[in-house]
Amino acid sequence: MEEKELDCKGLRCPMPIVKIGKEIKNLEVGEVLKVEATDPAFQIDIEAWARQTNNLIVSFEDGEVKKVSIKKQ
Amino acid sequence: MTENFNEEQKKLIEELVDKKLAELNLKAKKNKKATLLVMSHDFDRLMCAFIVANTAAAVGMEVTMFFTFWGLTAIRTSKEYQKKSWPEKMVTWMLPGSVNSVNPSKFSFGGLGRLFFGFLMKKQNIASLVELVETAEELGVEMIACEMSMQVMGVTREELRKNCFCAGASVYLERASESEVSLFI
Repeated sequence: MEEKELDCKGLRCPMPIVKIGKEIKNLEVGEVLKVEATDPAFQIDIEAWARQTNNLIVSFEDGEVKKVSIKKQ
Repeated sequence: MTENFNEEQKKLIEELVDKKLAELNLKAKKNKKATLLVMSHDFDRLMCAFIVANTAAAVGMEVTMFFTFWGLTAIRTSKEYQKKSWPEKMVTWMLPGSVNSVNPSKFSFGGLGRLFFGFLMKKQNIASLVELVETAEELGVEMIACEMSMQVMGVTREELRKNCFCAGASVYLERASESEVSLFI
């Protein structure tokens, strides 16, 4: 299964979500996008994004650098 | 009402109703829409407008921004003076020529506020207004210029971004009436 990576470290709202919104269009259904970000509101924002776009958050790792895996539905 | 129909007719009616309901259900699931009526050219208000527009587009909504009066500055790329009447030339001179020169609604201090907030935002790696306008266009946000206020403020089509179009209030209302999110900025 193809995995794509996206670096959003250092970017502040709304750019991480905007970049993810753009990049997810390049994925096929079932592919996974791995994103790294440092924005403080990233977790809550990406969860809201996933609910609205009906995509699946496979995993989320908190920390100084937040890592999320999103599966395109 | 259905007492006068035979079984076959009742079945046909049921089938048609089911089909229509399925069509309506599909229509309801179509993309959510967001419309923003932008009247201000304050730096802080335009930041708000474009952040919302970008985020709405990023979550898959169909976004329309309708720029009227001062809001036209947000989609303005240049200032031209030829072929304008004297009042129009005056208004053109007094207005900002693009989002590069818009001031915050408070602490504007004759332009210092803009520089100050611009410096703060850059330090915190926050996207600039110019960047947000470009990204909004890339994400397919529909940008409409109010025809009437263009005439009042002496703004010509050539002074606006290439990817916008001119329309009136009824186009705005059509978009707004279909939108879950409808904002006035």
